[in-house]
Amino acid sequence: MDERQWIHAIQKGDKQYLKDIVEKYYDDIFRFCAFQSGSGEDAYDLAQETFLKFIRYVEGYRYRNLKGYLLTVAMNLCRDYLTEKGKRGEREISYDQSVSGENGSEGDSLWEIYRPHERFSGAEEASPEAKSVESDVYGRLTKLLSELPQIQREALILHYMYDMKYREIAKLTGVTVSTVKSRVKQGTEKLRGRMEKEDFLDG
Amino acid sequence: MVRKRQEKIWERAAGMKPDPQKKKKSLACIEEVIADKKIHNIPSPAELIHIQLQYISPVFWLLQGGMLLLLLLLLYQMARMGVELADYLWWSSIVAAWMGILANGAVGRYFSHGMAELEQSCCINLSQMWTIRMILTIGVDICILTLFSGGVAMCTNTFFGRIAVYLLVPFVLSNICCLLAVSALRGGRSRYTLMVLAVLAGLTAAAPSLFPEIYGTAYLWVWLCMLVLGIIVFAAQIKNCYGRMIRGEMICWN
Repeated sequence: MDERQWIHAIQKGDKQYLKDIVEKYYDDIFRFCAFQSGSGEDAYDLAQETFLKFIRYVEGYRYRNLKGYLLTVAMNLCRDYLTEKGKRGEREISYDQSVSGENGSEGDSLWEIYRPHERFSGAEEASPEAKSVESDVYGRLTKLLSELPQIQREALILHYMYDMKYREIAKLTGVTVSTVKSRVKQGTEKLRGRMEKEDFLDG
Repeated sequence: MVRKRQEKIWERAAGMKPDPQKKKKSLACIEEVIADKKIHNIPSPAELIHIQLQYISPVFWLLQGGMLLLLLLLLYQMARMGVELADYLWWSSIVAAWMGILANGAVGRYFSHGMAELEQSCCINLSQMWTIRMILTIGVDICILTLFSGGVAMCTNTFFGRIAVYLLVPFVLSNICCLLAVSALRGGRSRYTLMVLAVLAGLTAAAPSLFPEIYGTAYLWVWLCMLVLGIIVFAAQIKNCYGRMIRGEMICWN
């Protein structure tokens, strides 16, 4: 059964497929929210809200590209989240907090949730050192991404992390293909410059 | 080299997974919402048209079929007799006017016997049902009249668009009259009122044929103006009806 049939079955009342969709795309949506918002803790709430919104309006959903649709919902939620955070005068991403979190106090960043001890999933057999290295990569990438403008960040995440074509990103973000190209190009250059400055590319 | 390293970092980031415990907690919350969710089936536009087609009375389709047959017979007979354009238009204008009455009469059934209030509470509301039925009934009529115009155009060597304008004018005007009766007059939806309207509309539509020069190219702009004006009035009438339906006035009237 393909996704189109899942949606059709859901709209006919078979709710089991809603669970299947959530399970299938949870990690993808979480990852997007985590890197886009910069807060690992809030990423769970954002991912959850994405699915709740989808469930709320599923009757009116006309199937096209489900993953793209969910990412659009997540992207809009992240935009609202960052705007709200900006209004409250908080920094978009609290990397410094995350470091302090790792040292004992409770932080709310990616660094915090990917602390080496037992929490790292997807590499259960990995050594504590390997887990620590991965956590460091996520934390540093999150920090560098947070220094980019929000629109460049989302274009970079969608292009590099989700292998999306410029045309697909343009459709998702509602801008032209050339705008997406320029966002990805400028974002990549800025990110590379910062990575080199921080010796992130050396390892 | 730098580019490759950067890509490698992205690859590693793409492999990031959420904390299993927190994910489980989040999924549990979502599952609770799924369990409480009540799915309301919203039909697609194609399904809506299919559903509404089932509710249009067979008598309407029989009468529509009768109109089509009548037009075909007229076309055949007049082509055999080799009559003038005005003669074609005389009869076909009357049929076009009847078709307008028939289409709006079918739409008016929504308001008969106090049904509008009940229909307003259905899955698709009254204005949605009304729109679909208008599209269906008027769409079928326009198709028939367009095809017939093509037939007349071939038989009389006249430009197809010109014939279509001559036939659409009585059709649009009869639509306006019928919609006015259906929406504004209490009892305007009764069979007798519609029959009286059909006779009057037929006579009015036949009147221009008494002056055949009116179908000449010199007067084509008058016909075009009448058609445009008629479409504007009809659109305004429909807009007004929607407003009254939304405000509930039409439901109180039914």
